[in-house]
Amino acid sequence: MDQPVETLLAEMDEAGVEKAIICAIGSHLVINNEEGNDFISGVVKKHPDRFLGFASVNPWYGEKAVEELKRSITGLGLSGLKLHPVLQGFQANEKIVFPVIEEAIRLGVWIYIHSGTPVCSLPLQILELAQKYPEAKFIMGHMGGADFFLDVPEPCAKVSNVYLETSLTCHPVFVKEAIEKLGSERVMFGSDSPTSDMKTEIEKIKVLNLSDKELNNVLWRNAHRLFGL
Amino acid sequence: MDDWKVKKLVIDAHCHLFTNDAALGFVSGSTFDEFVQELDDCGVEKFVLFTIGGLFRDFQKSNDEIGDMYRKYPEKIIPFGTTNPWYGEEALAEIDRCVNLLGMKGFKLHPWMMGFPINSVQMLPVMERISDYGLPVLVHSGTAPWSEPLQIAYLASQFPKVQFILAHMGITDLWKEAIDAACRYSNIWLETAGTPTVAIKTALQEVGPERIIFGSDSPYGGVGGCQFQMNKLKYLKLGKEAEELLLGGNLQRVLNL
Repeated sequence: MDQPVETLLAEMDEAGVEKAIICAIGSHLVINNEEGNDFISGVVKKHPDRFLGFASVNPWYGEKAVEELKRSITGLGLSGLKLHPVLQGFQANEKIVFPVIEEAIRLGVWIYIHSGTPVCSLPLQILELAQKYPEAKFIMGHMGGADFFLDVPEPCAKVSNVYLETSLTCHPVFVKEAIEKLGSERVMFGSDSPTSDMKTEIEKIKVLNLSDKELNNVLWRNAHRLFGL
Repeated sequence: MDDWKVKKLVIDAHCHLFTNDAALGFVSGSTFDEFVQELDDCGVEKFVLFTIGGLFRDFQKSNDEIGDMYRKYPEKIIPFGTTNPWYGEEALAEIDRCVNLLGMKGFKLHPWMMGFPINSVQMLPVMERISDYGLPVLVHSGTAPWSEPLQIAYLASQFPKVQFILAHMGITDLWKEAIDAACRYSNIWLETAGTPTVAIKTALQEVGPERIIFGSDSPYGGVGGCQFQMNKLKYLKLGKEAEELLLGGNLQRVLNL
């Protein structure tokens, strides 16, 4: 799947999206992390008014992964950490990821983790990690995806360090129930472009008949607050 | 195209009847009247309706509920029954009853909710019976370990006369596998509820518009659920011909309408 910067910017313009958080995919996410982070950082530096970048490091690289995260945040100016347990090959809460989480805590950055895919990227595994590291800040990407939605709103409401991101949840009502359980302050709009598309994902939020305050929180205010935009 | 005798008709291939059943407290969804109104607003003229409760409990009673709704709205509803392969002879008798008494036009199976592997031996007599009636099955797909596209496709390869609709076409994680299944077997159809845009886009390229079918999974999505599922197709800018196929033409072929 390719997504040139120009295509992404055009999609943002058409959908009325002013800023986007971007991160690497493919081999950049899985094995060639340095190359991927350099690439993402280059795009952010070229369009600082449109993008924030999240770093990718594969926890299996151990100390090297910790160093790469440090370099990405302090050297390249990236804003957070993206983890994808399925593609990177680890269970979301297993020991291999601890050093990377601890470094993210030291750096004070948010950690976005893909969720909803058996067997190693499930909401309760991520929650387990969040309970082990209450000082870490997590965004649960896709909030359980298609089949693991039941494991998301109530369990996540029991902790304070997990926020939810709305892309790829396959029904609008999942977002609605998440807002009811966690409050709109902890649910953030995302599109997962180019897997889904921005207009469809925005309208998924708009059909919910949220109050203006809730809608603004989800569509931009939470991201502004979290990332100091 | 011409010999398909397709009428222009917008059909939703995937709707559930929610009843006041505490066991179904999955999501709030919306009421029958609310979602029928929303389908109407979205331009849906007919919809396939099957149970949700019957996937967990008394499937005979749930099929009766679908039959009742069908008698009430015969112009709107295309009724699908369900049966649970664990029940052996009783499951087969229910297929007979669904077709002969209730007028069901196909069957819905949901392996992980109903608690059976789609590739288990007790599915074989069930599929033989459905095949005898020449009716299609719509199977939930995309969930490990019992509802994976290639598992369903393997069953489809054993019953070439049955049209298998992969509900959700593999959903978020297994849509590539669903496309592979459809490329290999011509009796596999892909239904779009809950799958991401890129899956539909890729299926259009690799399978073609002739075997992709619109479904909304209403009222699971709650208010706006059908609109959301339809937006995915809208923003793909399918073109008139493909749009007519996805929105009802293909399902008419499956159902011999």
